[in-house]
Amino acid sequence: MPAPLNAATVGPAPRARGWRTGGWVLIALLPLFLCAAYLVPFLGVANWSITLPEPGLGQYARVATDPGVHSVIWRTLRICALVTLLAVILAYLLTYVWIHGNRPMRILAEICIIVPFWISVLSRAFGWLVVLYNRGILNTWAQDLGILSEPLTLVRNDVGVVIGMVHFLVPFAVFPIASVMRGLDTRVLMAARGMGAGRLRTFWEVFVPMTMPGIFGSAVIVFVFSLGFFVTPALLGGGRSIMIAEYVYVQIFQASNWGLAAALSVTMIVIVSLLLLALMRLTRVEKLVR
Amino acid sequence: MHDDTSGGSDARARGMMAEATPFLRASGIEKHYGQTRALDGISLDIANGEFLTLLGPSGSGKTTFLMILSGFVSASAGSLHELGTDITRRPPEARDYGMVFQGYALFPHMSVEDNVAFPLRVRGMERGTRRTLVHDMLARVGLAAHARKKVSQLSGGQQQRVALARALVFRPRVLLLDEPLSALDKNLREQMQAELRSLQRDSDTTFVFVTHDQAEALHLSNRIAIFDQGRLQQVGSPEDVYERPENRFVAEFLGQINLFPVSGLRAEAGRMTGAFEGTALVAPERALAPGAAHLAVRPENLRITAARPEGAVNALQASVEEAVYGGARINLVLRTASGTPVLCDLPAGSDAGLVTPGSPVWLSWEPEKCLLLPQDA
Amino acid sequence: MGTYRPGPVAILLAVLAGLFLLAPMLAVIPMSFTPFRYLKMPEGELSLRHYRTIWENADWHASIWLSVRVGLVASSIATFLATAFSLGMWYVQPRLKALLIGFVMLPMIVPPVVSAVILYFFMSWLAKAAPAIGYDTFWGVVISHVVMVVPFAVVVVMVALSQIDRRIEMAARGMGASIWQASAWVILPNIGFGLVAAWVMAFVLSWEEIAVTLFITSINAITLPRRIWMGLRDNVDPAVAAISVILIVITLAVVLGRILWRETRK
Ligand SMILES: Nc1ncnc2c1ncn2[C@@H]1O[C@H](COP(=O)(O)OP(=O)(O)O)[C@@H](O)[C@H]1O
Ligand SMILES: [Mg+2]
Repeated sequence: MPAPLNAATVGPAPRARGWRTGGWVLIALLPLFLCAAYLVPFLGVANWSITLPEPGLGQYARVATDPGVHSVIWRTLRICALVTLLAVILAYLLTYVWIHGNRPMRILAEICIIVPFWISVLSRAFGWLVVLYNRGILNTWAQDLGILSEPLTLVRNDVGVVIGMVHFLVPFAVFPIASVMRGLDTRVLMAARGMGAGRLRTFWEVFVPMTMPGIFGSAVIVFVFSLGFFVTPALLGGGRSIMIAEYVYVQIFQASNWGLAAALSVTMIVIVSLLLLALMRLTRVEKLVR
Repeated sequence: MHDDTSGGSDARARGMMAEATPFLRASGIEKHYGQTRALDGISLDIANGEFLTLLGPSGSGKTTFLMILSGFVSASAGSLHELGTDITRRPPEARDYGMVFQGYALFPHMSVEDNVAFPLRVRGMERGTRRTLVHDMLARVGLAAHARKKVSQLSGGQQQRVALARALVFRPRVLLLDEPLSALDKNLREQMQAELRSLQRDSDTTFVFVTHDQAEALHLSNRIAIFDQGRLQQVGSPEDVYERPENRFVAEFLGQINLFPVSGLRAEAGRMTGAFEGTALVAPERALAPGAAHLAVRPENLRITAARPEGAVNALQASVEEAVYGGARINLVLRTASGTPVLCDLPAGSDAGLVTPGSPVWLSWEPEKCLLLPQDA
Repeated sequence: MGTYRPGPVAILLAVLAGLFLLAPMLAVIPMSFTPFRYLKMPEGELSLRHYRTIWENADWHASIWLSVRVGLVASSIATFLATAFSLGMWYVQPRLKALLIGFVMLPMIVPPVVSAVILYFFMSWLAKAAPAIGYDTFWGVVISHVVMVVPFAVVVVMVALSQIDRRIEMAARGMGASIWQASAWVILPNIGFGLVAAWVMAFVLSWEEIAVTLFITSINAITLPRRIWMGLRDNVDPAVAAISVILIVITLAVVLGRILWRETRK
């Protein structure tokens, strides 16, 4: 027979206390590290923006008035808007097939989305260079087939930048749309079809409106991402089509104008914060992430 | 704010504890979640070594109260004392109470014996002693042969036993159990009820057991505390709460009961008489607000006869509407002359002629077998 | 009633979109076999000379090796910090939860070029205060990469934690475990997969990081992406095509392997 239960007493655990303290120690490490390596340096950058080359708000005045800076900002906004539009449309199509297609379609769509997502931005920009430059695949084919007599200039201008950025951003645009499409009740769609609405009509009048939050979230995310974009524009714009991020790089490493670079950085943070605040106001971010 | 009934039950609970410092004393515990009052002024003493059941419908605050006892949830107001020491703010890891969670919360990556050894391991007990205690405990719950299995390889009932073994192996002074049996099927549940009782007896540990199943509560407990809407409705022995419910909620929650609205109550010689549908009915005297009340009789306390029994104090004429054969018992639905439905529960083999639908009968019961309940607000 | 399926027009358009996404990756494959020393499509004869360059050239080796080392160290530190943070948040559930999470997510939300300027500032300062871990050093790159990848690791670990039953933490705690015992013996073993995922994610992001690396390195700490960048900036070096093909093939193998594994298990 097993021993009686009340034989030995064990007593309370010796080291048990201190969950709260321990928990805060665990929490604190990362914010402390980021304070030292990110927040304080950011304050340093903000300080640069009002002290270099001389104290004052001169650099912000330049951001606000200099036509050179303005043309860069306008080009950035224009390109980003176009990129956002194209990336969201492509992402929407792919997601539609990825979520609602049959199994082979789903797998193919997944490969098209996931593989580029994991491939380095450099390899992808380089790939577009190979496709688009004057003696690249596209121009060679078009000339061989007699469609073009002269090569089209597709890189070292806005066209190349837009193509490269759209390509980079489509996978990011997919995720918010996918999370909304997954949550859709497809019985509504079947019901619409059942009530005699055609395929196209069901798509435009039922499906698209129901996925609007995903489209919207995706657009904001892509736009915010594209604003600070550096590598793709630098490689495919070839120094001609300069966007704000490359402009900042040039200010630091070629013009040695740290003050302007810092002022532009602070301005970008402010713009992005405003955009994200608008996003949070208009949709629940958690829904887009899940 | 205390209403009459919960104030009364407090007094009763304290009376039972006499003057000695209670083992555990909860005073005026409240818990608010925004607008919801999950607990609304719970005062309750728990004696050392007793089997106390918290019983109530879903959402009545049982889990919240148990969580406050365990320290995982902090009360919005009120205090908790253990042998006179204030432990309201003591964190759960320092309370040294065992806990069995709904769904068991076994560690899925550990074997059965590692699960049971866990509380000993965190106390730094050396391996040899640990093994002995773990194996004794596993033997006690009948799992000696399964010590090395992964918990996912066990059945629900076996997982339940592992959870019990794990919660008892470090000899906690209190074991808190939150609906531990609700996931088991009926046979297994009855078997586990018996085991819980014997574990509790053998271990001398105070058990605080949460359930929404009144039969389970009646079988297991020394005392039952009945919760509804965050308030303590009544505390007492199973017999107390079943035979002498203090209000309509307790009466109805603990099983079927017939309620006859009576009016014009008069007290005389330790009894009270009131009128139900023109018939005078008699019950033991009870302090009640003046006016109407309910006279309550459990179905098993009713007798059925063809003629009015000689000398019966309480008797009503009725007709059988439906008879349901249930093995050991027969359940009848009757109607009084004016259409009030009455439930009656008879031993099988009662007079066959009387329990056929349509037959006119007399219902009667002893005044001692019924009681008066206050009319609801 | 069947299920809701895309029509032929949608499928056709999606196929075009898919081709668009795959095109640049397919294009580098022939280019990597070009016999020319500059960016020109092979005409007839193919050559492995650019693969040989990658295989033999000490500069490429040094960069690959540096990226591997940076990736290993940075992802390990990032996973450690992210795990500590997420676990702590999970245990304590502080009132400032949203604010704290928002703060550690900043490097992911802030435009990369701004992060690059911030880290450039930090590294320039360190170059004076502690030159061994500042601008253009191994440790400088590691610190910067940790900053950049740690938010992603936090997301992965938090998702992993959200999957586990809170009651096992309560059970451990109620039985008298210290926070360290509960973490090491109960919680971490149950999120092992999430930790590995966070580490892999952090490694891949560090391995590919270029925007910040460009700002904080110059001639000493040349990571693989930086060397590719150098090969693309002036005269485009077809060796970049070779290394890209190698990276693409590895990625493709991993992604296809995962899809295959998942599909066959169903
Ligand atoms: N964490 C919480 N947040 C908000 N409301 C809660 C929470 N926990 C419990 N409640 C509410 O408190 C009341 C009592 O809940 P509970 O103690 O779980 O009841 P029981 O265990 O008796 O079913 C319910 O109305 C429930 O909705
Ligand atoms: Mg409950």
